[in-house]
Amino acid sequence: MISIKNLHVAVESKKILQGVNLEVKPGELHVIMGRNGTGKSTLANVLAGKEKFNVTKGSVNYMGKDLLELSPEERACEGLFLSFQYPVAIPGVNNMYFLKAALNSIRKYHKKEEIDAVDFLSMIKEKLKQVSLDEGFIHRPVNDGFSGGEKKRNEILQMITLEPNLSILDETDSGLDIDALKTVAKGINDYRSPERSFILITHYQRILNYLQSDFVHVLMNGKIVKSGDQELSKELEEKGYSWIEEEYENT
Amino acid sequence: MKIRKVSMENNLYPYRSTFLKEQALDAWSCFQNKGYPHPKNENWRFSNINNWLLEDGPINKYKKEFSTTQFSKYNIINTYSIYIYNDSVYSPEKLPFGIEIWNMNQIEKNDFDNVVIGSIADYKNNSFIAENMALFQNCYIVNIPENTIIDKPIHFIHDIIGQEDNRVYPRLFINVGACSEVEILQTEIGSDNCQHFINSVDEVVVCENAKLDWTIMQQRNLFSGQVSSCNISLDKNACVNYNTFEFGTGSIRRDINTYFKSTGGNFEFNCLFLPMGKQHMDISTMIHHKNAHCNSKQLIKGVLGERSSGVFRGLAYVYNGAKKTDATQTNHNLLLSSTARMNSIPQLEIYDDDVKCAHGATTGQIDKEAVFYLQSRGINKEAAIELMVKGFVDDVIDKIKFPKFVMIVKNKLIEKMKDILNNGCI
Repeated sequence: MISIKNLHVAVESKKILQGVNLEVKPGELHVIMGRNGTGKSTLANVLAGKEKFNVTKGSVNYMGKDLLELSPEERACEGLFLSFQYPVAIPGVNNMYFLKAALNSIRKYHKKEEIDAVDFLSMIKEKLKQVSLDEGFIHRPVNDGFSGGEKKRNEILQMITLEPNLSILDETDSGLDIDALKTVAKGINDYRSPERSFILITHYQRILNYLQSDFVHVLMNGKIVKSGDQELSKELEEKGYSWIEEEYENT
Repeated sequence: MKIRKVSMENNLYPYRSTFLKEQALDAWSCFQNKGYPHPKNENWRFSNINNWLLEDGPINKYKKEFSTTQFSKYNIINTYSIYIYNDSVYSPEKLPFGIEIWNMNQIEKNDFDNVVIGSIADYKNNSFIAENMALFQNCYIVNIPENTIIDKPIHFIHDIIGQEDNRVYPRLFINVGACSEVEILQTEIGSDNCQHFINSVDEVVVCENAKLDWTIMQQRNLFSGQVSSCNISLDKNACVNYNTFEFGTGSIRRDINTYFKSTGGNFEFNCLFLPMGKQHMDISTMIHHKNAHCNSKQLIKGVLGERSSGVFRGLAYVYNGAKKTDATQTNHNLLLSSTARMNSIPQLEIYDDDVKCAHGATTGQIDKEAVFYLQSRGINKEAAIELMVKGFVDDVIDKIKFPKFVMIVKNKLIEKMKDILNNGCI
């Protein structure tokens, strides 16, 4: 699905990622954990195509294409999705209108016919149920005045509507209450399939109680320093990150 | 101080030689004394109109036979079209009972209480109104008698055509009789490619319990400069919604002067202006809250691209005794480029202590984070910006009552947005 090789990224002169290697195969769910400021969100944003970051070295191959050559919208159309850590409010732009524009723009890219308003509405009603949101929700401006939980659920709603192949979920579990966390986890679980992959960035082991991950990686100093299975996340929850740091320094 | 050199007498139209002659002479002397506003004049500080005045240009007397097709393509179904060619009226269809259009001849011969040209527009304090008062060649009067509800909107299609450097002085008087209700749509076009200076003055009397809804879409040619003033008088419990959508002209100044003549009046002004290229747009409002229990509400939004500039100057003047006044002013501007300029001066002057007034203004740029957010959902940058601009202006456009006109304004907006997005100017 995606193969990241020796990725170096800088903002202005500050080096953030210093040689990230990651291979995600179809159907896999990878978890990336790590302290604040280690470059987790940078990785997510670079993959989504944010301009502010400079890729100084390395390559990203996404489904046979050079991902870094694509514009953000092309990446989205190719089936890459980023669930934002801080979804941006866009006052005045109706959520439904936005979702429809996004979906049609992706359909257009694949030379499919645009979906009409009636079909779209009945489809979106189904999707809303999956993330436990009521219908009035889609008539509000995008993320404007949404609560933390609503914003994150809106991200999941967008994911299941746009149907990406690779979803990068940047702290989608942060700031959620227990029920909302379950809803979000359920949304992700329902969406999993052998063709769809996920990169989940998180600080907490908690969401992994509801999700089965294939790999857990620890990002430190701009590199993936340790990888393991779900047990690793439990170990991190107990012990923190310092033992990994020591282990890494010793090697 | 700039003063027009041409002698006014040469410019008098046959009607004007006697009709309103005194006022015209008085206005002319006011104009001579004042001259055109100097850039140091506070009200004109951000609008240098000098390049647009065409001081040596002749007054338009161009009376080419026109074809109705130049107008009829702007016709809107389910409206009563009235064609205005420079300063003359031509109504293509039989007007329904309840709309009367008079020319100056009829006004001169009859006495209509409410129709006194020059009674609302204050030429003593405004040089452009004075200039128009002295030089207008023809005035048309639209009268809606008492207790009349017009079933469909009236649609003015106003075209300015002339020779190069012509100056045009349109003048309109509208009287909405007591307890009447009317919706007016107005499409302002300039279908030639010549430079003109347009100085138009509208006077509007809205009588007791009457209701007027007036929406203007201005799309004059980019070579022309326009100074327009709309002077509105509201009688007891009268209600006026006045909306303007500015797309055209090289430079425009639109003044709205509102006078609450009695209590209970309700005035709403909504405006969207969209200057691009080197266009300059100046929206200026002056609301005279002279009487108690009157409300005024203003919503002005600007979207400015490329090297354009815009001005909003709004003043709600609350006189002593105008108790329970409720006046609000809101101005939001969106700059699409770093070279666009906006000056916003929302003002309140309050001389009574039992009132509710509010004003606010913001000017900002397109949120880059939001653009990226939309891009990351598969929407390209141009479409993302278009989506955000539409979201920004939607609430102003939604103030238009007539659905077909909403579509026309929206299409014009998209057309204009496309131009600049394709130029890659953002």
